Amino acid sequence: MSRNKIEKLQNEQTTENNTLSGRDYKYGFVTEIETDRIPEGLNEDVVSLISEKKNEPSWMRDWRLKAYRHWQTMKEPHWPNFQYSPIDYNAISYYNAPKKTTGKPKTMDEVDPELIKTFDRLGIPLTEKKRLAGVAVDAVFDSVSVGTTHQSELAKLGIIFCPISEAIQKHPKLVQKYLGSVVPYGDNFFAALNSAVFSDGSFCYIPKGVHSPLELSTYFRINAAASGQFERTLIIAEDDSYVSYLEGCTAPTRDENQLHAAVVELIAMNDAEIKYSTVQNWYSGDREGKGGIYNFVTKRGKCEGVNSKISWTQVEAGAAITWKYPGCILKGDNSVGEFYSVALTNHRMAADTGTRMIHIGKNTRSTIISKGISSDESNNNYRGMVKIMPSAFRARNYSQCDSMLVGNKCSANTFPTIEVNNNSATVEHEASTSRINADQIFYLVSRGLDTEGAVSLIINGFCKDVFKELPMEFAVEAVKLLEMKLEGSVG
Amino acid sequence: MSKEEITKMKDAMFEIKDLCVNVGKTTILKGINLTIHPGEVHAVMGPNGSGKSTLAKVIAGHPDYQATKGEILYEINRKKIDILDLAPEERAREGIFMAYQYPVEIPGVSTSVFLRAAFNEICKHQGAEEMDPLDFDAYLREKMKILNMDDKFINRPVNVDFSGGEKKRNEILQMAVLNPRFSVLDETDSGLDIDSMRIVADGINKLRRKDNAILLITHYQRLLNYVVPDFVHILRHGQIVRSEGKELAMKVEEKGYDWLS
Amino acid sequence: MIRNIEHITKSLIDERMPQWFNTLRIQGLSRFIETGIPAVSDPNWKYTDLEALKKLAFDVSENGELNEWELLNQFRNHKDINIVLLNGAFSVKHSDLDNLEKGVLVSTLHEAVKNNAPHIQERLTKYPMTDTAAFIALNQALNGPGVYILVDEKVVSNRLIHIIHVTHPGRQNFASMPRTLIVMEPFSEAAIFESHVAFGDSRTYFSNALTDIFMNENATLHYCKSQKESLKAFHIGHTRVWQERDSSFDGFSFMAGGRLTRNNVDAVLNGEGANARLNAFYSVNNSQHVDNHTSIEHRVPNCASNQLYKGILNDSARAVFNGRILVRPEAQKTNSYQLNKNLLLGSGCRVDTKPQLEIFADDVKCTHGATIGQLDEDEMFYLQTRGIGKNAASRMLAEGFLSDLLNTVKNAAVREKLNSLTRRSFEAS
Repeated sequence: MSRNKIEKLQNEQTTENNTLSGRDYKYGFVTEIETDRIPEGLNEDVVSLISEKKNEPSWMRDWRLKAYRHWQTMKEPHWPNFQYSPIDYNAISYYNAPKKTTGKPKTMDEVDPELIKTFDRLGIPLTEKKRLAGVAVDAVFDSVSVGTTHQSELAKLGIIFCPISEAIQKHPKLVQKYLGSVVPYGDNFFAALNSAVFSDGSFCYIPKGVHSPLELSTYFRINAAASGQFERTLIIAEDDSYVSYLEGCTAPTRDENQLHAAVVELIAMNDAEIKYSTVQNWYSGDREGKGGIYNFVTKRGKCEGVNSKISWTQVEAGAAITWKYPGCILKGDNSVGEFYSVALTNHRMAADTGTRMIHIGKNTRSTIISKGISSDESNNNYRGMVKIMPSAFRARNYSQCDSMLVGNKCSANTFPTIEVNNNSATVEHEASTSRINADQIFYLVSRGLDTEGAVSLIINGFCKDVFKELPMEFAVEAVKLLEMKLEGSVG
Repeated sequence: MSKEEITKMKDAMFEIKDLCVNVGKTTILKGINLTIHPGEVHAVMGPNGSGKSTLAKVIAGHPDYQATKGEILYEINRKKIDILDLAPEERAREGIFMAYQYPVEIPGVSTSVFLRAAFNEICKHQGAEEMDPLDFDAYLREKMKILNMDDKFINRPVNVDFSGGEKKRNEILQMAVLNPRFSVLDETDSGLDIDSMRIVADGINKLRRKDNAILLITHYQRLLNYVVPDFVHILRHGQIVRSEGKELAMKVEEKGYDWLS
Repeated sequence: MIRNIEHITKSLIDERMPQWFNTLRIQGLSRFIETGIPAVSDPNWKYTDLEALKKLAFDVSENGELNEWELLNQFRNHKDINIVLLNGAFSVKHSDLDNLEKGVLVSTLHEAVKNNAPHIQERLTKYPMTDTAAFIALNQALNGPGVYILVDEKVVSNRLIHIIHVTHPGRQNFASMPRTLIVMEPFSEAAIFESHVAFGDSRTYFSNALTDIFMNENATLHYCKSQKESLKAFHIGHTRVWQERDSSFDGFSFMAGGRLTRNNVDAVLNGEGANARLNAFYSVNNSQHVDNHTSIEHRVPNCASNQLYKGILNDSARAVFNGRILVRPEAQKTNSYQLNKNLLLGSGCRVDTKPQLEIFADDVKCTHGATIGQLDEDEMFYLQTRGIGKNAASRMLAEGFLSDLLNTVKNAAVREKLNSLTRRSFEAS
């Protein structure tokens, strides 16, 4: 078959596909539930009220207020490579909790069945009978955690895995020591906002010498309208410990935009390893770009100890806009930072995501693998920073950023920055942009695949360096998610 | 003539005494003794991991291979010098040559420019006159004939995009050009087809003289059919476990290494 | 920075020049005064601090006469057509204007404006003034007589045209504003080499150069900008290339000197089948600072662009690279390649590199990369075991690092000149 014929064939398929609108967002339902809600608006009283509702000690409230006051002096950043309708911070409700969760339930049996059903529908069974083996789950619904599985099992090993609101009560010393130690409240506009109003998220503490036998995971669900979610997660891995942590997120289909501003802090001590994986599937708006989550996230890990390792793996497939740069501060000598990312944008989504690797210790190493896929009229950006400080002798970095364009109305941009202040450093950066090649598709089609099957094979090949970093179940989920998102976009 | 008689007849040019070598914290060579006289060809054989390449690297002076004990004496102007004290380039200028098992590719540096620079450094050190580019070109082409090498290759960057055989031939060419007194050939035969091996072996034989010596390091007996050694040493677990004449190589080929200990 | 800049306005107006040209100068001046010297908070100047430049005061008028013209001979080659400018002024006496090839026109730019050369107004007003181009505005306001070169349709010029910008002010700090306009008419071909040089390292000056190149259909230009200023000098330069259909620009920049150097090369690929090569070599020592910015805009389909920027840093020298590739939605079948490689030889050197790809078309092949590293230890050892000492080995490897770059220069005369210039820079370091 000649090239013209192939292209014609593909064009025909494109027209056909254009009539499809892609499979619907299957997590777009709303749970009808009575909530305890703080009315829209933000001021010091609201911050204090959130603190009060969570029954927090005064140091926590004071920290929130300090953050709030600092936030007021800051300006929303507009350097990311996308535009969005202005956010009215006074039109957001900063606290929404299902009523029946007030006075936290002791066992899963006491959780509102409506919520159990919701998480069931999201594929996250919470009850003892149905819960996933090998994965402990903390389920966060709007502003509160509704339940955490496997807690007692983990407690036997000395692992603390609980909602952060619970940790503030039960483990105040640990929280006070580490909260804000990696991402200070003044770090950036959204981190300051989060520090003032954060609701729930997970707290993990892995004691010295313990390798967590379970994957720890948090599932974030936004349900309430006109609300924001301000997740806060803190993971501490003591000397010679290991933990793999997973995070998933969804939200209902709504016409207005909702704000998700999270802060995640990781701390790894000597010889410790933290593996942090995300599959982000917030509602991304419709084909015309109406609705969807604004996802402004600050995630940072600190390799405090020697030989420590922090590895970020993310599959960013949802949200109307994503602003997110999970990074590592490589302070301990010989520490290792990794960032593996697949960012897929379709419809009119915009993603500005990447990483920051700050090398401070000697012999520190970092690896960055980023795969961006843009389709329809979306806009996908990689933004990265590798910084070798004068103290980082023999530091090494390898970065690879590839972009794939599917369709001719989208864009893919790459903005890496490399700053080298020590001459013994070795830094290598490679990037490429390409489209799904007609010859590749034809080759696969001639072997009996249909076009969509061929495309998904190519996409999976394109992303395999990232997928292989994900825990098995998540990898399968991620592949399905990308296929679903790309359906109707390829040709 | 017995081995002792030879030793009495003339002084050794190269002598390794009780040499122990570490790579990082691991000890690889554990007390090597070896004496080589002018005109001799010695073969060191041994299974993988016995320390053969370490021996080559430590003679050449690679910074990762640290001698913790012993000495390597080399005769320079009738004096025995411990070459462990010399920088790699000083060893080369005194006539020690190593043919690499894996020759290094150097993009951007042409083979002829590289070889002339090396040749002139050695000339300068030994008090001989340096050669101008034209004379050197003629000299190089003459040496290339020994190894059946294509003229084109001298303008290509050193070892870049060379086939395995070409790389090994290039090593022997360098030996021919630099005219060393003592050469260590590290697995020069590995990865070569029979024709390439014959060319390489022929080249080595043409370079054998009464006043130079060669240490062949090899895993296979095959090369020794073409370049016949005077002595064969078996290296196992970092020590020389047996030294005999060329027949030892045949025995190893037949029985393997396990009967030796 | 420029002494008495507010009072210069009057002297800009020259009755003998056309009205539009005087207006252009005044607009440039007010734009520069308005924007001022960019600070490090400006993303385009993040890694290059102009505070030192800002603090010094420079005169724009220079009356110093050069008595040692024979010093020029070190830069001249009798095989070339040499065009000499001293402190921005065209020296007819020292230029070879008598034996120009047929169809190659050389004059001062101001003369060409006065004589209303074809399309000259259109060309000098081609680019809209932007906020980010303070130094272009400054040159537009204060440029000296400059050079105008036009290569006529179908003319193939065989001799290298060598424009030598010499800055050698008297004892006063001096700001020079060299301005060059090159027009390649359809199907023409030429080789042009612009050198920015000084006599020694004693003088403090600021050279703010602006070169515009227009490539018409099927024209080919072999171009090199080389720069080796006084070690006390500041050099900020812009080269803008406008390319029409099937034109081919083979460009090279060689940056070796100055206290602070910023070199911008921008190409607009405005006609199908055009291709641009922007390669560069920078070699800096001591506490020299060199900043290279490139911008390539692909506006139409089937164009190719190539950038290979290599640098060697010694001592505490500092280098910056910022390369932007923009592929507009119409520019399908674009082929674009960019690579920045840095060799760090000094213990205090520093590199900041920032490639940027902005792609709005899907059927494109774009790759970019950056590497920062040292001499390869295995290669060093290999050379040492062949008797080559450490210094000679590292020089050999550094020259090897450069050689494939020089081999990309197609024109033999340009390549030869670059060869001898880069060799000198190795000897100096």
